[in-house]
Amino acid sequence: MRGDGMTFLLFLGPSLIGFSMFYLIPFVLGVYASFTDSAFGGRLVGFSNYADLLHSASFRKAASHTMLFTAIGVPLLLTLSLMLAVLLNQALFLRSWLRTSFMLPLVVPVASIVTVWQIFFDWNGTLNAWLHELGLARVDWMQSNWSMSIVVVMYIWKNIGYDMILFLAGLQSIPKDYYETASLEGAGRVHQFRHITLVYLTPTLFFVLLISIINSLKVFRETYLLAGDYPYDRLYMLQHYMNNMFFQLDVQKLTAAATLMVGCIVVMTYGLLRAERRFRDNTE
Amino acid sequence: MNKYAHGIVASCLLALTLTGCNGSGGENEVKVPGNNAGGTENSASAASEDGATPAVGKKKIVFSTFWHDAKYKAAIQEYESLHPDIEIKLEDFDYTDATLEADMEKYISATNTAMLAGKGPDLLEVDILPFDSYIKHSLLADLNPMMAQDKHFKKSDYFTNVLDNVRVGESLYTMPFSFFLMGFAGDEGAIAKTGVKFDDHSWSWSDFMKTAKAMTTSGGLPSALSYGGPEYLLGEMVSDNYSLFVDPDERKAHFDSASFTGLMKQVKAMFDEGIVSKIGRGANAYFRSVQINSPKDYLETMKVTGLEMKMFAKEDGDHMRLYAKPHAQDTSAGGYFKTYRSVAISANSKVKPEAWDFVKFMLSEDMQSPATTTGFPINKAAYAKQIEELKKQGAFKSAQEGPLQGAMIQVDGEMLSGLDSYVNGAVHSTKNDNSDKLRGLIITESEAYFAGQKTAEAVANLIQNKAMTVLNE
Repeated sequence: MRGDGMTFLLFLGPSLIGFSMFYLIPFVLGVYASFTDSAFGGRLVGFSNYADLLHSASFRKAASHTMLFTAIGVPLLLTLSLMLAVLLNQALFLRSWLRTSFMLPLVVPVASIVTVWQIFFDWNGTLNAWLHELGLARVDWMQSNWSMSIVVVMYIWKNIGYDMILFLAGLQSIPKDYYETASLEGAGRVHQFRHITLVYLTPTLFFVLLISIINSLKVFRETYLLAGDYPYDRLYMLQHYMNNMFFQLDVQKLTAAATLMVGCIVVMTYGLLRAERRFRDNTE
Repeated sequence: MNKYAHGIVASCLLALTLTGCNGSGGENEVKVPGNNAGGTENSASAASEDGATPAVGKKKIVFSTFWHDAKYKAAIQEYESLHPDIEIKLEDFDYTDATLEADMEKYISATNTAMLAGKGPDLLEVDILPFDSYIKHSLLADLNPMMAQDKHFKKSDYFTNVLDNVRVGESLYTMPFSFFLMGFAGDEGAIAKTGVKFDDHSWSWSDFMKTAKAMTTSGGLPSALSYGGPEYLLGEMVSDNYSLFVDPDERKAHFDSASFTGLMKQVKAMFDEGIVSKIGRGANAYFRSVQINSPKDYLETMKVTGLEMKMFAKEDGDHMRLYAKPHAQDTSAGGYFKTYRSVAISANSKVKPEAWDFVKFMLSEDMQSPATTTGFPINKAAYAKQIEELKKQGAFKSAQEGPLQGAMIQVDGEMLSGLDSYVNGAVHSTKNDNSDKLRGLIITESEAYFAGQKTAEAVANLIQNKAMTVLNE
């Protein structure tokens, strides 16, 4: 057994060291820094950084926009990618090509795409030129409440392939006999979908939901490249706030915001995992 | 979770290196990535820490700058030969023109990290650094007490109009070695022909607008002022009436007010009527913005702008001179300057008195008077000497690569004497556009209004929202 333990360590070691070095230790230090005053090596000041943070109207604004984005983006993404997965699970013309094409956004570097989006959605951009041709009033896509829909579209475009693959895997693990039995007993398509597909897909659904929420928090890269550090109000999200704090060397607020965000995510993940376990216990 | 950690790893990475350094304790040399300053250790004896003990070894001052400046090297050499117990380590960044922007970013982030960790250089040139943030986090030393305690330092030997106006509150954190003048160039003769009287030392923007209107109606040149674009003029006028639109203590912006949309409309009207124009590069206007880099540059710039003016009106352009830029209504009268090559002493430095002594040396007449470097010297005697030298010279060769292509320029003594009141009268510090976020915001957002694509109110609302975000972060 001892040999096994050594091998275990040998294989796990590198990734463990890397993970601690670049994720775990920095994060713990960041949490510590969020409780101290001035720069580094300051005194412990309890929750005063958090009080400052919550006092900042911009932080509250950023947090509410982040939640709004997640609340809109994630359900849309889940619905669309599930529909796509169900569609591509059937015999379809050019099926494998279609599957591949939906995966493409994952491998394309965002920066290269963002330029195209920028030109497309700019006030003086392509889309507005088309609208003008059609005799319609142009819309300031990036500087109005439309801006969030654009980021939602971008988020869906970027993540739909990934979610679709996960759903496809889930769909293919559902035994075909269930459907056969159901159709023999006269169940319609909708009925089959609701009572077989959705039920057996639920564990996958929980996982995809979690990943999608976390990915929705990472939409900052796209937004930042698209609209800069002070975008239209609606687009100003938590990562903008943290990014700007970083550039203002305000380490206290930055680490406090990060800690708070991680706290929320941990609570949410815990809740989701519990719900999933309860669901599994109920079905078995 | 693993996935998510990506999002915060940037902040945490910073925390790792920094707190890591602090945790490992005290004087140990911990290298901060990207910063090759070892901190402020004594090179020979670690014992003589507080400067009181006579040093067995040398005291070391680390001086960090991004730009390479022969002046620094020369000053250090001379200072070290005068003070054998001091060693000054100049750390300039190895940049190339091709990668300048990336190199600047690299230098800034490395210096930021080092400063936050308290391991930064003792002395740093802050021209490209976010020194406002340093001041906010008390990372820089106040030079005022050092100046006050130093019996050999007479503040009146320097241009106090500049020194007093780069202060933050009552404290002076950055010491400029030199400065530029920002003003208007105009042809005295052409302006006299309009018969409009004004006092450019005290005019505000609204005074200027009245003057401008009167000048253009007199029937000479089509425009009164040539300016980059309406959005820049708007940005300028907002900074000039800052307190009207921004209340930093209350964290409130008032860009959704009628006075802001009114200002926008006023600026637009001035451009529409041609009182201010962005075409013609100044040749068709009485005034144009100029930056004067030195006494020599004054003569040369005026020559060049005069020649350009001649292309439009043959009889004008012979009597070009500097005028002060209008100032804000709610600030004191006077022109504008922009500092060039400012240094600051780190609050965490262990050799502050020594660093200050070196700064003082850099400020001395001998170091400041050679006219080889750009900028008006902050030392008054050095400035006087430069003027005197120039007058004695009688004529000098213009820049070979400039528009005059090396032609000789006659020194006009009277013109140089006229410069005095502007050098002494510049009391407003010009900030970089990009260091001033609100101004940048106004410039980018208002463009759509001036192009006639959006209403003033729509733009004002956009600016208001973003300004509130900036103020409340």
